[in-house]
Amino acid sequence: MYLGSKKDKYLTIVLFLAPAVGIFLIFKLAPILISGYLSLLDWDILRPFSSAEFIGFENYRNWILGGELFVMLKHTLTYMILYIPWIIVLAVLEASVLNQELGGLKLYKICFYLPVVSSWVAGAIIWGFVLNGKYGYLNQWLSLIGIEGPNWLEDPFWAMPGVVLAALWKDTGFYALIVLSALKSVDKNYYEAATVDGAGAFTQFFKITIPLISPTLFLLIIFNVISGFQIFEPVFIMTDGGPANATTVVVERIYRYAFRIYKMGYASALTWILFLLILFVTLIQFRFEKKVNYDR
Amino acid sequence: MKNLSIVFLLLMVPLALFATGAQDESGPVTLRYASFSAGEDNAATQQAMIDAFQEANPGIIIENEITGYGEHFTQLVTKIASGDAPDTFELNMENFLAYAIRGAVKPIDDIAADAGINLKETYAAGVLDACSYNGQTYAIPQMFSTVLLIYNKDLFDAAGASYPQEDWTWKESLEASKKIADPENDIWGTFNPVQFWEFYKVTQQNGGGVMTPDGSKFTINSPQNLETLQYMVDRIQKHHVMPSDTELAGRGDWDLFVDGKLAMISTGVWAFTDFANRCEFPWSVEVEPGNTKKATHFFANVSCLSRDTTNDMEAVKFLNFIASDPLSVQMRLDAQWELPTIKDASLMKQYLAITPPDNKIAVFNSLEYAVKPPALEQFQELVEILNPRLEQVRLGMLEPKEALDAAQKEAEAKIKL
Repeated sequence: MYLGSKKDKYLTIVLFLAPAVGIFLIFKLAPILISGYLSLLDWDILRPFSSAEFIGFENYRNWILGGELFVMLKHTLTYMILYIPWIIVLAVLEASVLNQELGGLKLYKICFYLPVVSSWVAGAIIWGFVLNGKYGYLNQWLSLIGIEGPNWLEDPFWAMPGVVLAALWKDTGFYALIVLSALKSVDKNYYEAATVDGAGAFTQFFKITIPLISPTLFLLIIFNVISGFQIFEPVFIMTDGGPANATTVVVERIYRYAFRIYKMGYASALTWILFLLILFVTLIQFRFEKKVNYDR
Repeated sequence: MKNLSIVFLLLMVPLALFATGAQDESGPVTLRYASFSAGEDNAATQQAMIDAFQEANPGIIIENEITGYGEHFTQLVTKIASGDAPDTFELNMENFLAYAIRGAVKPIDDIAADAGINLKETYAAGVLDACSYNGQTYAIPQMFSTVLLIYNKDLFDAAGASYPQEDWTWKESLEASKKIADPENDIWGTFNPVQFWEFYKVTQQNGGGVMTPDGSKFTINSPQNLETLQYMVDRIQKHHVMPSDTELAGRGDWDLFVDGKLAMISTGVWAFTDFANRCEFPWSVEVEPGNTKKATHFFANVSCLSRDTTNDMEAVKFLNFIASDPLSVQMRLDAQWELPTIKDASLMKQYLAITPPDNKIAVFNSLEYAVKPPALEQFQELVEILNPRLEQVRLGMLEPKEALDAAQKEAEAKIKL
């Protein structure tokens, strides 16, 4: 209970919020708005800013008519189609394991969460070993069941699935924790009632657990669609967009155009196109929310 | 209200951290130097050079900002764009041109003359030429390296092939490769990656090039270039003397050579120390073979003045010291940190005396055929256009003609000459 005057209370709230709001305004909102302005300029980042030329929506026009955008979107969608279903399934499986009354649970948690806290650079090196076409562990395991594995990261067709494998390894632990908290919040009475009614574990899982954690799963899908559009580190570190541009994705191109080709305006326009795309897709997703949310 | 004061004070602390103290005008000059080439191995050598300079020039303090090669350019671009460029910074030759063309660095001829430095008398003509653009000098060359043909004598002996000679052409090189290569046993004749950096050089060995000599037109799909690219991929796909991506299986070409599985590799003098330490077989070097003429790679790291620096004279003195002062030159030679750029060849005797390789003179002979990357404002865009297509040819997804025609068309559409 707060004992000071109303005015003091108000001031305290403002003061406590000020650092967070200030940091947000200076380091988040301002750069976002500035990038919007930059996207209307032809600015070579190595030249003085005074040399920048206002060109209106020319950068946007070039992106949309140039063709490169659609190639990147195709790669990004491929990534999402391969990644999202698996990350949901794996996160639910992992969370279900963690939700059991098993011995050594802490050890499991550490094992599952370790990839999340390791750096992508270290992860990429490990996956370089795993995915190596000739000597990689994955192909060695596949050969045990009679499958000749591909030359993952050097093959334009298999490079993206290779990146997805590494990303799944890296991210599952994080999403599993979110699903785990949802699983913990499911009322145990439902299961007891179902058991009395004679429902098996399988039925309980699909008829009780999944519907009741559906808002969380929906959140994960939205989250992963947004982060799928923004996929950068694994692609940048593992394939650098290659081989033969087979894994170029939007954020990797933004980086490339801004810092390697020095076209800051062009890169900024792509950033805004990405923002609008994510906004559009998220709005569509929210329209579907009612159908999956059993709480409403 | 006491609580509020504490909150207010807490808020002020980070703000105070942001505030920077005003510089004392009468005090020593502080110069920021951003570099990447020292890496782990030569950071101590670089610091020793800086210490020696500071001792000789008590009024100048050098703030050394070392970053890795990967981050250096991203950081530098960001600092320049945000108006926080270091006074002086290191660039590799390919990026140097992009910076000079855009005016991100200052011409230094007049500054050097005022500082009593005669650039032409101090530095070797070839490396000084690499620092110039449009008749003006924009950088001080710090170190250079050449690319050579490095070969495994044991593999040549075992196949009964004669060692590479300076007058070798593609023909002799391919014949030897065919004799040596044994793909079944993972033994390979040669390795030159099929990518942009090799392509712009190898085309010139065949009288081609990605642009006309005056830089007025792209000649990416010229008959000479087509023949060159065909030759490059034929070594993988037809003659099978060079490993494909699958056969390489993620191994580095260096490792393949060190493991004794590769007879010839084109790489730079920077490999010497590593090869001398790790190769368990005799190896030597020769100038790379050409076809209708010779063309070799030459790389240099140079140091420039930011267009925004106000300490011109001090900056040039510093860069000149670490590049050419006898003390610095000796340190660089002792550390085998690439080659000093000075004109005085007598100092190179020490370098030549260290073997292997026994034929070290080829390092300097190669310089006679050195080619520069295309001088183009949109150079990096050209790389982005051409490189993926060369990769597609290497991976067997495109025919050389299709790839070069497409690259020519796209370069003409996107790059202003």
